[in-house]
Amino acid sequence: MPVFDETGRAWDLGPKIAAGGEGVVHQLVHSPEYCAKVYHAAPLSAFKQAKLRTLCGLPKELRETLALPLSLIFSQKSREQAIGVILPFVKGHDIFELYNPQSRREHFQKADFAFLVETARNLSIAFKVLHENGIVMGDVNEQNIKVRPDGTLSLIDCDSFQIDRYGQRYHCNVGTPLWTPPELQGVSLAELERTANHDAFGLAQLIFLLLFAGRYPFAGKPLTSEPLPPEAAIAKFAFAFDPTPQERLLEPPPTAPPFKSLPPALRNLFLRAFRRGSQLHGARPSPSEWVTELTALAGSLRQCAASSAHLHWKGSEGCPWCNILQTARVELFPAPPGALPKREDSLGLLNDWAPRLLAVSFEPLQFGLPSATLQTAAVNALELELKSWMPGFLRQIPFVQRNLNASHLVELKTRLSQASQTLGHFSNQASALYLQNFAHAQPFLKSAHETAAKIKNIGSPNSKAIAQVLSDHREQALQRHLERQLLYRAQVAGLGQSRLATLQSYHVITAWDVTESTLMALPGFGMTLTRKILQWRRLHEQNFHRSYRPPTSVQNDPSFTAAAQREAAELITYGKLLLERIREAQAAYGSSFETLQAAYHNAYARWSALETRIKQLSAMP
Amino acid sequence: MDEQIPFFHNVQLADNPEPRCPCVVVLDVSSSMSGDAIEALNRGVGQFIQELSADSLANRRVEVAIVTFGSSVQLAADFTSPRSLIAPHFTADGATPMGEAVVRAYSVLESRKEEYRRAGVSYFRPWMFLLTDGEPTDTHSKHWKDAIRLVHEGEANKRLLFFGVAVNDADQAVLNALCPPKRPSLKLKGLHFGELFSWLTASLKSASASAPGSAIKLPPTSGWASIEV
Repeated sequence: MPVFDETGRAWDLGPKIAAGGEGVVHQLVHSPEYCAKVYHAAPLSAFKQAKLRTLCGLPKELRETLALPLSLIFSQKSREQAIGVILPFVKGHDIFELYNPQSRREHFQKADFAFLVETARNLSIAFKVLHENGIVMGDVNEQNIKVRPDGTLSLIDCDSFQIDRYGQRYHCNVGTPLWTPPELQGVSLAELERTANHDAFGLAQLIFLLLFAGRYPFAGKPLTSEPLPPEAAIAKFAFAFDPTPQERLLEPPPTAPPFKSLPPALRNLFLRAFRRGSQLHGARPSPSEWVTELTALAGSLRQCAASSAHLHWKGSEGCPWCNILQTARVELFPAPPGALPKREDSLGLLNDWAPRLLAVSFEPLQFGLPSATLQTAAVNALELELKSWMPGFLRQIPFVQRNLNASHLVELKTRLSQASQTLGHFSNQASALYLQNFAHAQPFLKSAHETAAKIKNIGSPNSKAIAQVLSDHREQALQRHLERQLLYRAQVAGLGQSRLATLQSYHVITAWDVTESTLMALPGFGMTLTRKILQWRRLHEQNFHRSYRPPTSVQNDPSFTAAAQREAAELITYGKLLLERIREAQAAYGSSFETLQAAYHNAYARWSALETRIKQLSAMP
Repeated sequence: MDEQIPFFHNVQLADNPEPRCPCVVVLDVSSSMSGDAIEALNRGVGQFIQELSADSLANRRVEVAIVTFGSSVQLAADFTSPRSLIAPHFTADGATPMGEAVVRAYSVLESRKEEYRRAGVSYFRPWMFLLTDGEPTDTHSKHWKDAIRLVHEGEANKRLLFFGVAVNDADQAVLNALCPPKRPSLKLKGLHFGELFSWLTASLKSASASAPGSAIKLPPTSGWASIEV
């Protein structure tokens, strides 16, 4: 259906992509960067038209922050009946999909705490620009701010904003209870003056949600049995994190980041935004105040010791994200695949690690000699043994003694040969013990030496890091290529305007956005159509691979350094583990060897005592 | 802080601290529902879960539990988010212990609310949505009296929103004794379960997105309810 803008240009109204209370948003055929909102209350009143025209005429610079309408649209070329507006189609995700941890993992995989602080700062800047231009957003809520992957954002649904121009005030007549400041809870919003101080409530709540893991300032553990739905808690100024509230209705939730995990200056801004008294004119922090404190926070973040993905204010007692991981078993900031390693594991350490891994060995232990005490004891024991062979008085007779010595000698030699056998037996046992333990340790030793070789190899042309950079480069080039292939130009049979609109409403716009799982999840996309769209994507992938040329030099590429660091960290972690295992194997071998050596020492002392005695007897006449 | 917290639910609530809108759906699967009705109901519930899952914000805020009554009263699905709910396949069998089902649904709701409170997650007014095609077979039991008391008190204290829907030849007079006086039961047009559940989805979406206070704006029921003249 054709519609006409202020200049008389015709636009082709495509299918519906969204529906709201006020109107329906349509795609514009062949203009994916725009869409059209058609109001239920069409034709529009002269007053509504005037408001929309005012919005269209706002300075261009504001368009960076606000999704302002571009033109009114009319049902006829004569432009008598206005039915809606042309709007920019804003890509990005609703802000709640960033602050909610579950959604964040889905839509903003690489967003760490620094990203959240940066987005909060960008949000404050957007409100600063808005208020400086005499505009009040009014209906601040989780669904009318779109965040782009780089942390910049756009405010949408501008037609509800309150704006004063040429002595005329255009009111904001809508609001969302969950986002309405205490002083306006339960108040009729029609024709009511909305102030920057009202917006400041919504702004503060959004910043709080971003910085406190999606926790609402007015949600906590209730201290009474009365149900306290969100809007009632707001109306009572029941800020759950207030350390010294006038009346305590809520405790902070058990697994939320502590209020003290932020600097005192920021905490103070939150108290000013949410406490009783904040309703007074200009009492809540202004956007500029937030910009100042958030900039300061961005400059005082540090990485925690346990994870490179855990960033927090450096003055916080411990890492709030580690605490939540321990108490609630939730990892709020998982390290994204391919995260940069921690700084201590940088390339510099590699010089130590290769030699350490190469030097490690697993050598057989040798029996030492028994102690002198043990020797003496063995000699004494032997003497006692000899005495027991013959009563004392008989030994005094020389004839008897000679015969005795001869027979003793024979007996002692038999015992000596037994003792030698025992010693041999212990030596065999020692060899077996070594081989057995070496078998345990050998794979670790082998890996340690291989790891050392890999560490030395980092940075050389056949290393994993370079391979990684090349594969990343290819992947990124593929993404850029596929992002240029627009679905609405695809000419896939069965992919008509209405299906294109469905795709667009799910942000599936280019070949890059097309995946099997995405398509299967969409309503009305059967197997055949899904296969055709996937084929179309594959075709573009094949085209890409045919023409792709890898870069010739990657050594100076910053992503190479990152990949090399990543590989180094992995190898060092692995190397540490190997050394640990080898040390464990050495310890186990050592303790078994000790037991064996104690037995060997006893046997050796006896053997030595026997040998000495035999020498003595042989020397006698 | 030293209280023990059950493992699974706590993880969901810490990972997604959005305020919740719990909705317990109480379904009649007695033998009178057999045939086309139970099949239409199965399709309707499947579509309900799918439509709720498709809305990103509703998926974070609405939680659905399903209690069925037929040969016995069963918790077919405990409270969870639409995307993680697996709709069971219902078969029709047995009597109509509606009172017991409502009491059970109420207690499932109460324990979920307690979990919200412990985790410090706020919640909107809970919904109970009952669908039946028959006459309750337990009107002489203690359960039936308890069910009426729980529904009426819950409504009066604004702790519950109760909807009763009559399918086929259900006895609306008996059902209305259970329903809150200001919101009597509605009669389903034919087997328009699809339209009925689309309405429920739209209502839950608006309830969870705009924090219903005293005034709840629900979409028109004309798509599925027939007007008794």
